[in-house]
Amino acid sequence: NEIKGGSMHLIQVDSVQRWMEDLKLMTDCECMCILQSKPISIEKEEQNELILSSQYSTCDN
Amino acid sequence: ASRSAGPAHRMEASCLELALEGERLCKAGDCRAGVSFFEAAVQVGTEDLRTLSAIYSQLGNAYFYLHEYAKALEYHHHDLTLARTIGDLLGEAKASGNLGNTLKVLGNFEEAIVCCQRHLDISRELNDKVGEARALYNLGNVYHSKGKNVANAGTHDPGELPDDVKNALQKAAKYYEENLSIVTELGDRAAQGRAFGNLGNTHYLLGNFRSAVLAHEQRLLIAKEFGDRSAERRAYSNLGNAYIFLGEFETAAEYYRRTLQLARQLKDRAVEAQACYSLGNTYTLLQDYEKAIDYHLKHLVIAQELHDKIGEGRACWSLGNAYTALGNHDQAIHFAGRHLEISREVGDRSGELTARLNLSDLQMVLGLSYSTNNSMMAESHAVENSFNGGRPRGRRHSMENMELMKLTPEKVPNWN
Repeated sequence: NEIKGGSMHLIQVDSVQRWMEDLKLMTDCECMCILQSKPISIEKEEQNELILSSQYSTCDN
Repeated sequence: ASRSAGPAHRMEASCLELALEGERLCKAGDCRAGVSFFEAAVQVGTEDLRTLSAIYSQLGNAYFYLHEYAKALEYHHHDLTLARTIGDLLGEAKASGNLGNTLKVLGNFEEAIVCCQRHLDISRELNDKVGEARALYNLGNVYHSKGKNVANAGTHDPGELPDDVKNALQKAAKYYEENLSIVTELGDRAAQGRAFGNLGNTHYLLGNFRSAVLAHEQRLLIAKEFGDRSAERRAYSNLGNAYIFLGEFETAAEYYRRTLQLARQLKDRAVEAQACYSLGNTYTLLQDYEKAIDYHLKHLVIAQELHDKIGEGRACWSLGNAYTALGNHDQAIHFAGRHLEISREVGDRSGELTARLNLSDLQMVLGLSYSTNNSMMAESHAVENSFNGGRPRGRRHSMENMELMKLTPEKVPNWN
């Protein structure tokens, strides 16, 4: 029991700590790229904003 | 074109026709086909440089959408050159912004900043508020990506942000805030939502967890306003993460549960797995090991389904530890063994070492005479000596303590 309370407690915090280290850099970002378009068709100036969502869990795709 | 039109006019018409078809196809979501028509239009050529500039711009955007960034770069560059040549200032602003985005994705942050700054300067010169807001948002994104990119390289101590990372992230926050004040003035709620989300993430990376929570709460409100469930889901997981670092584990668990619920509704298995993993770890922090095991098992199932070996290894490691905490040593040994197998399979040396130590700990607790124990421990030392990470070193102390404990007279009745 002494052993369980000591080193065993250390072990199970181990994997949580690793998760927390990764978590520090883990962000779910909004779309990171807003491109603007130049319409060819001479219609009314429509919404000339092209939004490209980034994939989840990364910010830069 | 009419019958009496000369060949040149027919060429004009055909370039425009090809370009219009390309535009229509891209709008319909078929960028691959759209690109072919635009390329053909460029081949035919046109005297109308404004139309040509628009073709280059749309080609650049289509290639960007198709993830062919080198091609996107080429065409946005053509567009920029042409816009400057014909003195089209608004066209130059747009081209600069698009080029900046492309350079950012290619990891060329310094040039991306120059381009986005040009977009910003021209927009201000033209008193174009919408363009100014977009340029500010893009600048924020470039600095955010730059900061995250360096932080991810991980050449620093965990928990310590290098100065260049901090500077980039602080600049990102500044630009998002400037963007936010303009889009608020313009009453553009969707743009506000995006700015709050990215501002929250920037504060989070900087370690300003309270500010991150405030921004993500705003993001959540706007997501609900629009019925945007993906954005709502993102806000929940970002809030959960921030509350972990604020030490408010119950609140974090609540947000992770909402993340999980929405991930299931949106049928996003990868996000569902991540939410289960986060919940497992959060319940471990709350020392509710039964719940932790429940969620780690859910994570394990999805990781296997998605053929995510790394995730599977993490799940087994976590499960081994949770079962150990409950004193269920049979299950603990089973999962520690799986953790060892998977770590070997994926070539994760530190995982392998951790799993070995866990297994030998468990075997000692069970008082098993493990036949290969000595050779296994010798091998552990060898692995550890070649391993430069700091993690297992703390564990060695506990191992040594265990050795000492095993040798204390009370523990060993036959001690002489």
